[in-house]
Amino acid sequence: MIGFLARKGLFRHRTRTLLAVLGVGISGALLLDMQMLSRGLQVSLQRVLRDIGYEVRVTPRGTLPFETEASFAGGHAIAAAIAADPRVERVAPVLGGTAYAARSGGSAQPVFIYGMDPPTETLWRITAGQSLDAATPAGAVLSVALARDLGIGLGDTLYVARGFSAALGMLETPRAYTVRGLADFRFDLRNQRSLAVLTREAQTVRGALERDELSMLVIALHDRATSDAVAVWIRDRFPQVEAYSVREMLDAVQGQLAYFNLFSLVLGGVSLVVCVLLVGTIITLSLGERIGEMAILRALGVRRRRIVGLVMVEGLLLVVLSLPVAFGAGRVIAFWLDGILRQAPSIPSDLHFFVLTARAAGRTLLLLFVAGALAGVYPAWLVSRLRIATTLHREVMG
Amino acid sequence: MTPSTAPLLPPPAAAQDVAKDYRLDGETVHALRGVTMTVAGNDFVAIIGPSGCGKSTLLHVLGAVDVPTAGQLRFFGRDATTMTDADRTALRLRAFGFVFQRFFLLPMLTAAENVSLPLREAGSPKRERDARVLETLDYVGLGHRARHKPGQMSGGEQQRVAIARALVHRPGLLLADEPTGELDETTGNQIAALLERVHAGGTAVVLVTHNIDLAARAGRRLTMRDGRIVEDHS
Repeated sequence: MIGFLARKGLFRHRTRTLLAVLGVGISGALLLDMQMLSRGLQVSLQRVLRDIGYEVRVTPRGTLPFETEASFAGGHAIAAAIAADPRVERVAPVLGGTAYAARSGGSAQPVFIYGMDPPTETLWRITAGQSLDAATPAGAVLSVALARDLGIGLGDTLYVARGFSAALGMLETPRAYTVRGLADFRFDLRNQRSLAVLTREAQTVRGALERDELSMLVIALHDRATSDAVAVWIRDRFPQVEAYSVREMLDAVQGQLAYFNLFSLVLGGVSLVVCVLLVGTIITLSLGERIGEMAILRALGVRRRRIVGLVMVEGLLLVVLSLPVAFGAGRVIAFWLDGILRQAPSIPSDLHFFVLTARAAGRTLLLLFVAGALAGVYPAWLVSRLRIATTLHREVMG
Repeated sequence: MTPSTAPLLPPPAAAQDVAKDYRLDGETVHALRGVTMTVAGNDFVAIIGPSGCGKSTLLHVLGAVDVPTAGQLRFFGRDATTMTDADRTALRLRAFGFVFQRFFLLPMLTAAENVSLPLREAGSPKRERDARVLETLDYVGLGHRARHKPGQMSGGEQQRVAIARALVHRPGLLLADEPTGELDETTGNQIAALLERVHAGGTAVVLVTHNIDLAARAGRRLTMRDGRIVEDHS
């Protein structure tokens, strides 16, 4: 009975209901976007980290991975000590930092150089050619953007050096590499140009070989559940380094992204209030027009709580009808906004600001239903106080 | 239509020294002053009197949509002062039917859907409900208009649908407030004839009217003035 009357009531003024549905839908879309934004970067980073496949990361004390160009000495010795732990499956040393690269006779480009040994090259995805090979130390993998900028391809020779003399217009003590492959580097920023060589080669280019300096160790475990414990063990055992499980790293990143949470909280709250006001206004206005009908229903013997329920259901039904609009428009707007935000120069290519998760969708649904219920409270209160005789008398006299 | 109230059952409504006051613009209005009357199970009562004399208020009190300020009221022998709002609502749903001057049909529903409302609220099974609705629409001569909405019907047809809605659950008492007030003379006569037929079928009828011809068809006429019954003419 309630559902029947609510449905009939809403479709009585189709255009008005359609406009209300669109309004609530757009408001819901913004709410969904804010839910997607609030943890989007964290979820996106989590997906990338899971895809890369290491459970623990070791960095110089007080830093996050590649947050600075800081390094720690004795890297391979630490790696070997960690690899000896039975919980550890393998340890991959990584060095990262700035350098210069040029083709023969060409101008030099500032680049980011990765040193990482196969078969652990999960920081990039090969798009052409082959990845690094321990048997070919003079091989290099270039980002597609760098290869394009330098005008070189597979099999060409590339010169890489830590320094560049502007006065002489040439690289300082360059080393020559053959381009083995082209790749997308997962954490490249928008304007970043990258190349990868074997770890020892990178150390040689960066002048870090003597002190065996590394930027990071990535550690795969036999059992992912031990990652927090292994991170704690590493921090205790090697005070010069920091160790993060994936969870700890996401927590640390989330701490740095608190302003996204605040931003999404404020805008999400505003859209929720708009949604409540919109649905509440529609239902209240509609109730004002139909107050005589409500009195009639009461006179016919429809219980007071059923009339209250009818008003509440109408609010919720408006929300239900707006869900396709909310989720459809929300996805489109999120895609559009994500594209705009990812144009920023300091955003790694694999990361996204707006990520649709079951949690974001679930919270949006819950909040929209709460909004629908809240919106129905005032008109439901009005109808709960309805006096049948007075209302009918007023309707007849009116 | 089968009567639901046997003559020996307690009367559907009995008022003893009933008063009804309400506040209007800061002043107390005495709408009913010491009204005493009984509506028997086979009554056809017309309440007449000038505007503002308390006719509709009395109808609302007798129909359990309003509560008296003072006095005793009994529905089917049960003391109304002990009844909760839910009890009165259940009473209206199961034992009373209402017809109003302005029909008050829900415009987005078809005639059949409007008529079905009391049965839906009572939780009648769909098959039984549909059969009863069609039977009642046939009874008021509108079986062929079941799928039409109020906006597609004349005033007389709408009032007949309203009467069907008031009868579909087979009430013991039908209360009608100016049922011909919005209709022309011919259509009003048709509605009056229908109400006579309802009464002849065993349902007690109480109506409020300014229409002398309609009142003349009732077996009993109550004349009201200033909130009092000044004449009870059987």
